[in-house]
Amino acid sequence: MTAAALRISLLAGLIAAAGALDAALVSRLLPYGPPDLALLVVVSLAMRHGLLPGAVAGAVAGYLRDLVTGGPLGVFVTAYLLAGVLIGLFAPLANQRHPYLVAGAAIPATLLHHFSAWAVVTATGLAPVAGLAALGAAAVAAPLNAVLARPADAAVGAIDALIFRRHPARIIGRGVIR
Amino acid sequence: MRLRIGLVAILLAAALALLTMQVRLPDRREVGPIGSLILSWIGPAHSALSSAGNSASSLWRLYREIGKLRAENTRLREEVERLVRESALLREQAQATQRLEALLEIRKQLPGRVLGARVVGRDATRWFDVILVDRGERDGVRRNAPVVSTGGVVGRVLHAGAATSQVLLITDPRSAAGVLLQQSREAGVVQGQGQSLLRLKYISRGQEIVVGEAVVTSGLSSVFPRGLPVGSVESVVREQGAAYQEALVRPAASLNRLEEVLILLDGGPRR
Repeated sequence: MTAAALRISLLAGLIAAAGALDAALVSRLLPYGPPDLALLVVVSLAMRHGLLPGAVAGAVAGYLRDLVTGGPLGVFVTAYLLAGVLIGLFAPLANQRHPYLVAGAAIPATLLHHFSAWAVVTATGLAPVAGLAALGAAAVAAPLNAVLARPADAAVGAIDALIFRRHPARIIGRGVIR
Repeated sequence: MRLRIGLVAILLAAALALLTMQVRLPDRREVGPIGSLILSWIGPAHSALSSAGNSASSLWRLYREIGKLRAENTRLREEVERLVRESALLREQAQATQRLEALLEIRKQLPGRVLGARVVGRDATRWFDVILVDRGERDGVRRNAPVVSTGGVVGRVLHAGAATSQVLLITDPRSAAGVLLQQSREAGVVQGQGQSLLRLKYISRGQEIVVGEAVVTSGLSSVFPRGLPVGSVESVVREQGAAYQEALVRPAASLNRLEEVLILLDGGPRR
């Protein structure tokens, strides 16, 4: 298996595992404004590898989320994709060695993700979602995501380090390995 | 960079297109074969995680339940302790009421003024049979006033203080009273021995003493009025060559469990 294929498989597996954890465990333990582990993986990928990997990871995470939640496909694809794009756009401007970089990025990503999902659902008339409730859930989820951002980033970093050890001569991304 | 932005734009357009297409469907959802395949993969993992989530939720609920039960247990324990205290207090009050009713009944039968008193102390060494009651001279108590309880004679006032008095029990060796055997009307004297039994003296040898016969005050002494129960004959003592026969008498009053007594203020013999 090539390094790229291995990396894609591992990252897809990580996103799928994070999404399954979100749906099966996290949302049960914290029914209102639960943290979003899949989004944190997307944020970490976008911070480490830039716009395109962030966008693709967002699309995959959103697609899986759409599949699991039972809603129309595309709602969360759009929301996660936008979050990945936002973080990927600003990643080159950030100090990659800052210890709270991912935690700081998780907050705007969470807010954008919640807002875009609410906007899509409201604009398409899919479900009656109260804006205030959505804002409250985002306000609760954002700090929780900030707290959990480093462990999620560490998981992504572990995959990057694994790929780098197995294929040291290949460039696996344009970000740094922390 | 342009290529990347172009790819991202395509992704965004694809997402919006997917959303638009889905929204237009009758059920507003169609996962397609790829989606079905992915769902079939992630379904078991989702179920396993869900089971784990259920277990975690159950454990969490159990933990919270334990906390609630602990608090409830503490509250109930306190409630039980309070009720036990109240119950003991009520039982104590009920017993006191019974004793006081009995004393009241006795009081009606006693001559002159009678004063109720509470036993507040006793000689800790038990060398002397003396008790302390909470009535004194300012209540009208005087030295040698007879003291009785529901059972019968208790003793006499040894010393009357201002607010308390010492009562010499009839079991004290310093105590003596003129008595009658209630059936035979034979006169004698009971004297304390420092033990639980009294010694009945000076009964003529010709007189038969029946065990269990009641002994009452004779009124011949200057302390006790006539007819107060003193006790009952426990055993007869006949010594060879003695001029009189003697008997051991068990006091009618429960001298070891005295809590309330009556002091006869106008004591002395009633002829």
